[in-house]
Amino acid sequence: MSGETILGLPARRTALVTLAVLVVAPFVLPTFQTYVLSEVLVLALFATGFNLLYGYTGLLSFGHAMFFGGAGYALGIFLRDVAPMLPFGGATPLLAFVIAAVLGVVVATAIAVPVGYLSVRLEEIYFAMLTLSFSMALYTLVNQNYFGVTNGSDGILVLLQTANLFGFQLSLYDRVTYYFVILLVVAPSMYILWRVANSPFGLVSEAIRENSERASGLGIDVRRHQWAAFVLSAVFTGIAGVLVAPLHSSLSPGASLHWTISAEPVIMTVFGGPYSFIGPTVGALFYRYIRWGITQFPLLEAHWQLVFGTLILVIVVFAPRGVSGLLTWVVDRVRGNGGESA
Amino acid sequence: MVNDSHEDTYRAADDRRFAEFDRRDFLKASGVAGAAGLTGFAGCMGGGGDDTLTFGAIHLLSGFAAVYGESAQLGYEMAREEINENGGIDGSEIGEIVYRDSEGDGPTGVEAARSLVQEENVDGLLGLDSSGVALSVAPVIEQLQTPFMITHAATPFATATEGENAVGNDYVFRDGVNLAQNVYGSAVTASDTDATTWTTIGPNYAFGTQTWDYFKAFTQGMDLGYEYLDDATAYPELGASDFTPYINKVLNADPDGVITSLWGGDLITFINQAKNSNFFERIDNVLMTVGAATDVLRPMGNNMPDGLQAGTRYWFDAPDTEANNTFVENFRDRNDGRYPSYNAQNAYTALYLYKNAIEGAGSTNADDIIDQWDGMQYNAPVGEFTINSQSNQAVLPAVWGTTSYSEERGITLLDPVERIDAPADELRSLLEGTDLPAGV
Amino acid sequence: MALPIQEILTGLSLGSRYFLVAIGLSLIFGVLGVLNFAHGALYMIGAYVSLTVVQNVTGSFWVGLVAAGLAVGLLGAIIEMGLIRRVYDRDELDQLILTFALVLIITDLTRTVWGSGNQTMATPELLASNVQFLGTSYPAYRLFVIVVGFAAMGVFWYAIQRTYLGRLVRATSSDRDMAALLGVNVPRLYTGVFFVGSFLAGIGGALAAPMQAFTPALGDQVIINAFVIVVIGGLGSFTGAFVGAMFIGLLQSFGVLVATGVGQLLPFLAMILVLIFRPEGLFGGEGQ
Repeated sequence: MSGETILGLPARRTALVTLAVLVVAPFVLPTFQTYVLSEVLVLALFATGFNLLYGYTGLLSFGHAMFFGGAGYALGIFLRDVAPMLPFGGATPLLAFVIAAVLGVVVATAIAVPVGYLSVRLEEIYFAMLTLSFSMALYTLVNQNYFGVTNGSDGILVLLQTANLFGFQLSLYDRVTYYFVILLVVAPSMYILWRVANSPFGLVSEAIRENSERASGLGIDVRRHQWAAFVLSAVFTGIAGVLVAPLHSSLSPGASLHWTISAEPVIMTVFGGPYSFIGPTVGALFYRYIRWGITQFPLLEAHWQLVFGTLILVIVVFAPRGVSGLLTWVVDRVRGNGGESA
Repeated sequence: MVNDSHEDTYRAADDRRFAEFDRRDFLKASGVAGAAGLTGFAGCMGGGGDDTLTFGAIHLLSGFAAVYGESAQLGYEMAREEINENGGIDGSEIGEIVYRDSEGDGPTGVEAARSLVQEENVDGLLGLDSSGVALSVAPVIEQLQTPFMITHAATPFATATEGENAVGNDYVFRDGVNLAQNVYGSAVTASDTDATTWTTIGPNYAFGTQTWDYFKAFTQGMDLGYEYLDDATAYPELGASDFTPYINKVLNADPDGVITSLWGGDLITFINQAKNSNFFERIDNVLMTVGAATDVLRPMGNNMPDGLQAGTRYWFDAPDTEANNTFVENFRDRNDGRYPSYNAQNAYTALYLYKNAIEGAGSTNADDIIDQWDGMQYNAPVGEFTINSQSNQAVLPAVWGTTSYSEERGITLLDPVERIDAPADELRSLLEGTDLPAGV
Repeated sequence: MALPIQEILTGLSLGSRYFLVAIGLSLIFGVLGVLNFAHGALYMIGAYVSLTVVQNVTGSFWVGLVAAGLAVGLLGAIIEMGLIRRVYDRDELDQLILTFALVLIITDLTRTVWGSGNQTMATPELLASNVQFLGTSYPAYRLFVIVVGFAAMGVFWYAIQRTYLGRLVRATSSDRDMAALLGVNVPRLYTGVFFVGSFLAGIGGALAAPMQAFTPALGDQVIINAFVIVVIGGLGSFTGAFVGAMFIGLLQSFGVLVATGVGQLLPFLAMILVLIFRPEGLFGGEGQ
């Protein structure tokens, strides 16, 4: 365990320092930056969950929006239609949120079980296309309001309320409070993902990615394993999905279920580098702050597609292991030159 | 919706807690890797100084409907220059209008609103082209406690305060014609025809289906005895390249009248393909709710059929007032003879509404601005209007007219053109008993 | 009853336009192994080049059509030589993301040059009328588009099956290294394939220009359909791209009659079914 590293730094120490920084951050940052950081945390979980399937197991999903948005919609519909009838008095806003979140993750899982079963029978681009078509079918159903509860293209609002816990007011929508709700869920989720990635399960996944025939020859049930990885990936994506809906305060087919949402973790992962655990997180960080940086300049904002596209292009062409690969290289150089070792 | 007013203030204060942090303070302290190079620079730029006013505008600036953001910018910049040339607002210049791309997506619009208020410290917000984005942004505006003048998005739910899905609140206003007002005009126009069986062809999202729902509700409220061919309604997806199957579906039902809410490029494509099927010869009464938009008429040249009934949210030839004529003349001088679109007029007027409110209150305080707007009367190019104090929606007439190409002016005109008054009480009473809000 | 014939013709003319995009996508994937996300953007550029040539250079639609094909073909060749070539030995995903970045760049540049407003183009004089056809009246221009789609398929089939160059393409597509050993100039062939695929996309865009109002976002509207088509038909199969395109065109045309939004839902359901029961596509795995 002591040999594990993040970006060339000792893993445990780096994780603890990062966590400490994240705990202090909202008390130092202005409100808007707390909002951006909240989103970075959610996106990091989204991308890392996605990468459990892509980077570790070698399956490129182009339909993760169905878990991200599906979980969000389940939460939103529950909060809108069922929560007002719950009998928990002042604690209702909090309990309703918790129940809705669990429900959302359950729904994402329930979608993932059959979709995953059918999808893992395919490989490479065919797998990607099948996940894409499932998620776009769901997008169309929600957009057309075929279920009657999704309010079509207008979408639904997700506004959290203030809970009254024995006289103590807890405003869930408060920027800092909600930041800590996110951190409280994302941090252990990331830890679990880290443990999974470094467990025998993760090693088997990597073996399948490298050579599925040989893995099969070693007695591994490849499809079953891929199916399990698929569902696990969807569970964490669902967790990210239930966290993001109240943060954005609304859900709509275009912003929750469209294929462009499925493309986000893909881009973040390529940005950060898919073959390390931390890659997608680094990718999420850069993806989000670069987009924010662009808005700070009217000229860049007016041509953000050009700027953003060029950046993606440069990273893909010149940094094969993504930004995390570059950072690791830099860290190695710095530490190597300093003659220091951990 | 939150009913408890105590909770309202509670909520709002939470989001503003750190508003006093200036963006520059943050940037100085910020050590965010990678972004550092960018942000170091950003600290040197603009931002709300003491004697200049800053406004933030959120529009579609990319994608297939980016033209709406572009034409709104023409209106803002014209108003800004005029106001600054004439002594600014209470002596303060309008420093800059910070534009953000909503990308037509709720979260992006919400983030833009937050950033403009909390980072750029804008004195007021404007814009929004898409109804979906407006519905997402409106509740957040209430939290941010910053005035928002919607210039384009037309969903009545954004200025409705009662009923399911209503998101109207004290801080959200609109100076453009909303969907209910516009469709009310179509119902009045329809009542002048002898058509009795009706159907619709509209874009496949809320705007298209709501147009039909409101049309039915208004004409039922007016007791016109219409028959509605619900099985023959056609909703092509946005950006459809071929409308022929939809055109055929409508033609096969052989209605007397068709109301269409297709807009922008879709309307152009639809009209060109409908002409191939002799649609306009076979359907006697075609009502186009946003057919007289200059962003449609300009690229169409002389291809728009004459004799159709077309609506718009502002028409450059009406009313024949000094305010309007001066606006149109100056706008055309600045923009190569281009006629102003309703987006440009609404954007232009919105900035003047800020000027009026800030000068009236003698302060840029958000609550003072919204107090001023409440019930304000204003003489804009679009005509004189009052902002209804219950809904915060400008009470505007629906403009409808008959299309007629003018060789001399090189564009299809509305001739004759009628400004149909749409009083708030009338709209509300016609919609009573339905779940459709008037939003005014 | 005139209705079914109208629906069929509409489906075929939609299908013909889809085919011109899908075939390049399929060809490039089949030979180079690259899934070109920017193919829709190339189609869009075709419409703008044609518009500019017709309005500003010559009044001729036909010159505009050829110019659009050549200009977009050239752009494709430049993209292949300058960028895609650098990532051949990398993950498929890197290639996909690279072409996705190109979509953003091309769209923004187009908006900067031509503006974001809707553009329209007149139907060429020769084809502006309606034709009486099987008891129904149908625009001549659409029939022309259908003819172009079928002709493109014919020429393609001949070129691939019967010519020396076609054999080279097939050989390289099935085994790049072996073809190189046998003396095929693989890099040049790749550039050539990218040129041809882009050329067809450009032609497709130019053909679409007189039929619909368009903006720089035109490509976004066809690319997902094109993906669906090549998957249903079989990646790398020309016959598949043709059948898939016509199938999706007809599905969308007839879907209107069933229920709102079904035209958008059916292609994805079809893709799900095909991938589950015949993952290699309807015509995949049969050579070309």
